Amino acid sequence: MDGANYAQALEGLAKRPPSTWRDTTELRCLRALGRGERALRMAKQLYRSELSSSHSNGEDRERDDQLRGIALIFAEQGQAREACDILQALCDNSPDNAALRHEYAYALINDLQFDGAELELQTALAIKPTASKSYSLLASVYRNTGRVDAAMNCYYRAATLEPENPRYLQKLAHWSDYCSSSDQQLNFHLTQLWARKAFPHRHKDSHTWRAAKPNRQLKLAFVSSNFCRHEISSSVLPLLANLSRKEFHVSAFSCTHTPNSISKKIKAQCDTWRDCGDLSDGDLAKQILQDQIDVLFDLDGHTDGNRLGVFAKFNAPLQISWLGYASTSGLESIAYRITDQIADPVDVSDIYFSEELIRLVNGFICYQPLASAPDVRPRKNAETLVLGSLANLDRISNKTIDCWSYALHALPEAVLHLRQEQLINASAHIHLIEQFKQRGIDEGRLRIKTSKLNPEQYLAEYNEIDIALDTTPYNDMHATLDALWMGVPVVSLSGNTHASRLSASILHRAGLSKYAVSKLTDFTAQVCELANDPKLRSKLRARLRSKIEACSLMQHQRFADEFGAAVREKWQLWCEQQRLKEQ
Amino acid sequence: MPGLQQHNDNSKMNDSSSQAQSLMSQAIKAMRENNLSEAIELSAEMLEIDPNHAGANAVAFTSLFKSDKFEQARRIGGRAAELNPKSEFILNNQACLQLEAKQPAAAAGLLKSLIEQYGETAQWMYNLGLAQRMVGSYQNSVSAFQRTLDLEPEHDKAAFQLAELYSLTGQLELAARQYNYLRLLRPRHAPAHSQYIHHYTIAGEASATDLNQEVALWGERFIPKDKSYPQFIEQHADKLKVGFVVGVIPTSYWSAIVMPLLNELSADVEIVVYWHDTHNKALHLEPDVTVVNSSGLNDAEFARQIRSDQIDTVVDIGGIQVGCRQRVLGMQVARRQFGWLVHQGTFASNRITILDEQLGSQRFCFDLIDDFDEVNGDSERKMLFAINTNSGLSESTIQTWAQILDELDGWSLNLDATQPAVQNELRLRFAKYQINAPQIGFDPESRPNKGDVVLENLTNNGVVNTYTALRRGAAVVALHGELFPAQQSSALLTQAGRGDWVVGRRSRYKSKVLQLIADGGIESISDTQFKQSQLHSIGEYAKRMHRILAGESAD
Repeated sequence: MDGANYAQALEGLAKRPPSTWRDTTELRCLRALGRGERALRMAKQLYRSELSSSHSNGEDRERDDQLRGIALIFAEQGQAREACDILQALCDNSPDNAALRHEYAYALINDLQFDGAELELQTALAIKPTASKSYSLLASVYRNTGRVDAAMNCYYRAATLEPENPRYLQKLAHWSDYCSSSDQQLNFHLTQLWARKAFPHRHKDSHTWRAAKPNRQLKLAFVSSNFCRHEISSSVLPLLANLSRKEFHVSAFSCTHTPNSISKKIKAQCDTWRDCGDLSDGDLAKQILQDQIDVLFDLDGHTDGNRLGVFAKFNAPLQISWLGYASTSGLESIAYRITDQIADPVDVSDIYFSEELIRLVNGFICYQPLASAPDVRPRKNAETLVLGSLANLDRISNKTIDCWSYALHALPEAVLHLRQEQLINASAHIHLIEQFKQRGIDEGRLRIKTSKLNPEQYLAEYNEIDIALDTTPYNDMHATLDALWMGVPVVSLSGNTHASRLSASILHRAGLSKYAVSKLTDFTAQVCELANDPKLRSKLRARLRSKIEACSLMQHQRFADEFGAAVREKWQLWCEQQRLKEQ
Repeated sequence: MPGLQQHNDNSKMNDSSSQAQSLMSQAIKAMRENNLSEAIELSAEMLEIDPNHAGANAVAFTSLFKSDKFEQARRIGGRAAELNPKSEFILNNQACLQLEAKQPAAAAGLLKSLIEQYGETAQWMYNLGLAQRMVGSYQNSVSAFQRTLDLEPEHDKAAFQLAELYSLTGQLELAARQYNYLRLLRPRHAPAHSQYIHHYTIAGEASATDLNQEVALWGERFIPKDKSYPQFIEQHADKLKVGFVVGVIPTSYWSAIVMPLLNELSADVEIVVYWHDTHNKALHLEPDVTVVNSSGLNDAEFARQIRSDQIDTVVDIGGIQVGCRQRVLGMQVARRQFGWLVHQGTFASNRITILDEQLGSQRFCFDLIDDFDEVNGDSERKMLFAINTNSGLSESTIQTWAQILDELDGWSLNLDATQPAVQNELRLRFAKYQINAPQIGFDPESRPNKGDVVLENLTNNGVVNTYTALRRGAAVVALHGELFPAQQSSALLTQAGRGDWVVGRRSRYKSKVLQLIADGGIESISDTQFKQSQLHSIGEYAKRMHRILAGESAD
């Protein structure tokens, strides 16, 4: 088990006589192997017998260890409240145990109790200031409560405490795009540091053999841990549905642990579907090799649950990144990245990608709105002007609040409508309100909603909003698409990173380029222009949906053809390189 | 005859040519066999025959360089580089020698030529960055160091240079970010962490919780737990002996606050000043104050020095930044240990007490030589004055001041930044908010007078400038921020009886300034108020300080 060979450890454990230690170790192995259901069954069973026993907490260390194991599985398998109860009781008995408080905080996070988690982590760190894992966990609390800059500092602390651990560098690379001071160059440097630590013996050349026939049918495969999310499916589904099957055989390697109706829809559009959530990187790589994939697409980048460990080696001759991540992978084994010239203007950003950029002429994504999207409802002119954003808190950076505050100052009658479940936590709520107050915006001008909505209700929320304000430096691309679909114009501040130009790419294609601006003062000016022209807003409300339908965002066949042609061209180039190598 | 002469000449030429060829072959052979002295001698002989011989110059330079005879190598290196414009070895090493000889312009020329011919390498770009920094071309230097990191992200020296350049040019947020990156590369290097903490604090980016955590972690990492001194030095019965550890502090702090206090205290207290600041300041101390130059001592040596000096009370004036000595104080080198004046408001060891808090509401006392006669302001002059801008400004400060200017038609803001590089950066950053000259300026002759409104830096206060502005009869608006460096001027204003010029929130800062301008007729702090505030009662201040240093209460 120390060598992380959990499967072998499980076999060994089966031969041991029953004991608390054996059960606890088995739970740990199952958890490490990602066998959630089996782990949960076992945890429930152990917990039932624990409840019927007469022990009390703190009496027996082995027993406490087992309870901790049970609680962690509960926390991860949808029973976070029970996990919190168990760990709280254990913390009460051992108040100076930093590791226990860390685990309690973890359970609280899984129960979306970020305030409590923050408190526990602060206490854990006061007891043990060098606990890198606690900084990392605190960072996730900060992110979820809208304090990304503070989260980055925690990741930095963790990374300096464990300089050889690439995991924290990966977090830094990922979240640097969300910070107010985001910068492509820094992101590139951090990603390069990660790559050197994570894969010191990187593969630079493809040794994967495939029949190098330029025009044969190609096996494409998409790897994602997010085939359960609308944000991914709205672009992936129309692509899969329209890729030529004469030219391409399409597979999906789904690494999600929580498949849902969206996963089913994606599965229905694939020629081959593989559930790989429980597979290790090594096993996934074997599957990919076995399936003889020609072109492998990464849709996760450095986000949680990514499979860059698979992409670090050449499991397919061509490896390409697309869609799910805004910056470079940092891996030379991923040769290309699909983007467009608005999101990544030519020559400006190329040097900060380890991949060669493929710029699709008609944009790097397409859009398929929710079939059950509600109708657009007209706004009455007499109603209060409502600016709004339904973005996640982690995107609401200081810079975003600067933009929004400028707009609110310029429009003293307007209110800002925000909806986010996490704002139910006091720390998140207080932080957000305070940020606006610092900028002279009273709490009364913020309409904050916290209830969770289903996708239809979420879209219907736009019927309450006159002008959608985008986030920066990480644009909320899907919120932009949804807002436009619901007839709400979006104003976006663009920067020099891909993440800060996502909405510009969409607005450009929707013929609304003027609403993607590069200066704070222009942001306010555009919002004011829309605010002061109710006729224009009504016109846009009435016509935006048809405008989106007519633009390249919803020309699915054209998008799939262009996407396919770009892949084919790179495949032909690879074939040519093989031919030259053989000569 | 001419033919014969020619024949003779040709014959001589042939002789010397074959001699030269032979010499060159021998010199090259010697160099290749690492017989460098012989190679130097042979190439020198060859250069006597033909001083412009490219190969001989190359061999001579290479051999001298490899023999560590750098000065000699550098002297012929320019000519060698000229004659061998494609030699990587000569161009790069001559550039390095020029850099060491403080001739950066020549070095930059050689490096550019190298890069143009052979493309970029991390080493050459780094050297180019150094050369450009020495020339004073900061923007080009930043680009060169950035490019070095593009090519070699683990190049810690380039990361360090870049962080320093951002700091020098007053780009606080970028400096903090770059020091953060640097500490990824040098995780066990205390100064990288200290500099990060310093910039992170004065950029106003940290919350108090964050800062406490960061500083506690610094202590955990760098203060040895098992090396504290077990016994206190017995307190001197006759005369208290106090050591002041002076780190990097602004000159004005030294001359207006620290130095006068030490001179006053020296009548009753034996004072040792441990001078750590490498920049030379005019000390002007009384003869009985002992000054120890401690900048060359490492922490262990410094701790031993304090112990051997038998110091009763030590006062750290430096906090966590360059030259931080908290590791020493963390070892409990003296019975009583304080941090004063220049710090983050939190210390890496709980063995250090904040002296400022012990002073209570009478926290400051100034002794300034300047003539403080109030001068009536020019009522026609629509000008605001910004102070403590010389180290740069946080984004929040720039944004707030830009908003104020936006509201005031025809008004301008005069900033006291004197460094051209900082001024340039500030111009660029204000321009992002559509604030350009003549709305902002840097005229050192324009000083605030009676009735003028002065804007204090929101995140990094400087009390001497605040005091100076008050003495000149101006009103100073200050924000009471979350962290200590942003609370100094509010404490001073409160002490001076003008707490009404202090605001508790960024949004109120703007309205306070606008209100003061709209109301007009600003009432300056009167002499009576100054007297009551004890802002220049140095004798009384020294007595209170003496009591604290002796372990008693101030009052």
